[in-house]
Amino acid sequence: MESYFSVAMLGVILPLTVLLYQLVPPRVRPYVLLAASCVFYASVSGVLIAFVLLSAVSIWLVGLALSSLDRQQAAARAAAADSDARRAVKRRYRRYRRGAVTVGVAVNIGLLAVLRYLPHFVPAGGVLDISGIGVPMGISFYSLQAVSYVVDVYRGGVQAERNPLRLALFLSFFPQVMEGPISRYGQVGTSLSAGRPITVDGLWSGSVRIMWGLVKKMVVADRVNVLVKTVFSDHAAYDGGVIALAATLYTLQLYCDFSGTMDFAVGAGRIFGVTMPENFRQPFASRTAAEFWQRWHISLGAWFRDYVFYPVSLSAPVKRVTGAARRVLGNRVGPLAASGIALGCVWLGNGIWHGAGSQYLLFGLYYFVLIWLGGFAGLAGDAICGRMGVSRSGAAWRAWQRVRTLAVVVVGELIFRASSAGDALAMLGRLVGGFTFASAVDGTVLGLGMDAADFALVAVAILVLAAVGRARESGVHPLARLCPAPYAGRAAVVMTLFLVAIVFGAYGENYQPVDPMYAQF
Amino acid sequence: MIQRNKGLPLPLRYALRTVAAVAVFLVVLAVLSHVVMPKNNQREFGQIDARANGVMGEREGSVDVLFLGDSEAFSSFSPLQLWGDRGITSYVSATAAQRLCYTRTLLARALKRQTPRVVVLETNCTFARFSMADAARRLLKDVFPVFEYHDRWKILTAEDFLSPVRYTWADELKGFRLRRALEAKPADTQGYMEPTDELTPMADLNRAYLEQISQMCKNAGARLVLVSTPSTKNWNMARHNRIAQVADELDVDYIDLNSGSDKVEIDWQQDTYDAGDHLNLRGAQKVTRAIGSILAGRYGVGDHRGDEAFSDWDEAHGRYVKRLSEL
Amino acid sequence: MDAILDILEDLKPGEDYRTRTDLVDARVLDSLTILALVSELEDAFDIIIPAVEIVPANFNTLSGIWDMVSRLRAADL
Repeated sequence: MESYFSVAMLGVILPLTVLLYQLVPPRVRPYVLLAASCVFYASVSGVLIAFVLLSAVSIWLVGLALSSLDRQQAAARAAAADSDARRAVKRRYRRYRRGAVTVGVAVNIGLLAVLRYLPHFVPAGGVLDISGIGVPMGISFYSLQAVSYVVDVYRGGVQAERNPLRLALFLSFFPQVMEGPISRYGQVGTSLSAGRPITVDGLWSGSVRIMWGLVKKMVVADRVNVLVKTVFSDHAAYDGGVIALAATLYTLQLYCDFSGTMDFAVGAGRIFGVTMPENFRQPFASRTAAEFWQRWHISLGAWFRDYVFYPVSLSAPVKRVTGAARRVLGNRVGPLAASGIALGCVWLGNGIWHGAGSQYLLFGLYYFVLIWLGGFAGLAGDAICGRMGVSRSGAAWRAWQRVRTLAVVVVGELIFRASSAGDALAMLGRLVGGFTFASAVDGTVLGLGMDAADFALVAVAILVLAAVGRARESGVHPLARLCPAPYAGRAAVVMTLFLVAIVFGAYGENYQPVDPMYAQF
Repeated sequence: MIQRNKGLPLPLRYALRTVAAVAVFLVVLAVLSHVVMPKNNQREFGQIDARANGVMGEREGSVDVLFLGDSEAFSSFSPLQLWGDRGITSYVSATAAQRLCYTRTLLARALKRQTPRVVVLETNCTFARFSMADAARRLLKDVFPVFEYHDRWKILTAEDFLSPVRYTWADELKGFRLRRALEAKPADTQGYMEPTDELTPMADLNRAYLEQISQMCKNAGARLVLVSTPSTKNWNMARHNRIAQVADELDVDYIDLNSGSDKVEIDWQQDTYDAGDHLNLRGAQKVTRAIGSILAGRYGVGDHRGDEAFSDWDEAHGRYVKRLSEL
Repeated sequence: MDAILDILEDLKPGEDYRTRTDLVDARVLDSLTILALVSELEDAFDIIIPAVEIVPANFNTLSGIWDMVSRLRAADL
């Protein structure tokens, strides 16, 4: 699978779509986007596009059913004689509505489970062996969007959509179908179907954003790929120092690859007047693991928060547990302890969402333990520091928190990248037990797929990324800043970024092409 | 510029500015291309596929026969043997797993300084699939070499900025390769060249590139000859039939060394180093002898032996013979 | 309203809850705090807050929380 940063996408599909979009009347524009999305989807996944359309139809029907139930309920309520009858109506329709939303969720989660996970668990060649069908592109992403739509309609936050094609576009919109962001219908539905004209500002800021993503992906992510691959595929051959380096570079690679792809999604969305939700917010400035997940793959974390964490926490049985815990453990520790149930569901789901491998379960478990225990540690720390009168808001303390969280994240990504949980534990063992700088001293580190010039370039890139991240943390958007500049200035920015990618990109003769990393999940 | 455009309507002004911006961009790409290009066609200068590109370093107008193709070509045709046998000057511009879009590039590069009488295209590569994107990328690299040589930013020197690009190097073996020359691994000849009426499909894109290559040869005054070298793994009658048909349509000659009157007697026990995929030195010698006779007899390619201007070929041939004896 | 303010102050002191309009968006109230808040509100006002109500619009401002609580109390009667 080629990434969005391909000749076909940047040279053909996107420009042609922009052109066509602008030429047709506003009413037709959403259909141009849908047609482009279908062409793109079919070019990658062929007939499997049927599954996306099936999901779209399923949520369209469930949405219609929910809104029709609402109308019936209102009518029945008006006809009810007294408050007891009204309560009965309410109870009855709550049951119907729950049935409808359950069907919608089950269909989409079921398709995801069958197409993506079943092949891992059934023996090859058996009756249930459906691995021949293949996995539709982006199914992990659009299925969650489908679920969010039916639940949002059920909860009343979103009006049921009458036009199924709009829902098809919502699920398949080509800049986001491959790796997200997992948007909500309430966020993008209106602007997707608005057919807004392409503006010079949108075109420029979108292009700049896309070029910025191109640089991150091609210059940084693809460059470190060879070393990461070399070390992770034969980790037993390397000492702890090399493993630490590989895990760090993998974290950088994943960030640049994934957030670069998100830059494409946001940038392309901007060109068509669609504001995509941001998926990254300077994740490496996080001070706790919990905060990291509010800044990294934000749309996934938010999805699990809204559709798993809250519903589980507020379900009747869990509420009873919470109540009991509060009575026993007090108002602070009690809810925290009880939140372990919902948190466990979230991280089990998060792990499984990334894949069926044991490393993903370990990855979920790792963050579950860290975040849950982190809550207790935070309370304990507050108590101790409060009693001793130590301030925990100083710059030094914040810096320590950031370094600590960075280490936690790198270890997490090491688990994530390993081929199995066993491999991950073996690598972690050597990271702790066999850490040396020997490879750096004797120069063998330069033989792993990156030469001195590569390391120098990556170092420069890290400094640039850090500077840009710092600026954004303090509320300045460097690229947005450059954009109001006159035409020549904007053109210079786009061109310079493009040229940097062309000259310093890791493509061609000495490199292997890299699949977009999150598209496999 | 902005002053002058003030009277123009806004869309036109934007259009003009865009044209100007694109022009600037292309100029910068051209400049960068010059900077990162190897300043000579040698591996040490960073040249990619130096052996195949060595033809650019041959004396102008000195090569009469150009061989193109994939690994089948560079393991089957030996220009220095051809010189020894017939006094024919030739060069093999072949690369592993060559696609026709690259064949076109190599042909264009060779035709800049050479006027070959015959261009031999080994047919295995005519079936190798490539995408529109591959073709587009190749075209981009040809127009702006920065796309091919950008990674040389790591090793740029002052010379790269100041010197012109020159081509002075040619491969010692003129593109022929001696890797695994003496190894032998018997081939399974079951079903090899069994008669059939089937035609192996050829992608439209491949067909279009073949047509273009044929046209380039015509324009340069060269005869394009499609040649299938012996290979039990890569050649069969269905492919033969397709190439015969295409050759007919393009009005070029087709010579199949696997079957028919031009068949070369290959000992499939001894003449291949990887079970019928590629020929070893013994096989290559047989093929080169056969192709030499065809080139001299059927196409009247001249004998330059004894010509003072080609004395370097005699020297190269001497070294070649010595090298073979030392294998 | 003051009862809600007391709960908020107790859960996470030191914020200007009266004027802020971005309690969720600015992550003043993270998911755990919201859960604690929900259970406190349920106890204090004798209501049940379903998952449907956990949307930023209901928690971004003090008045939003108050509106939600009032609505749920009215619906329960």
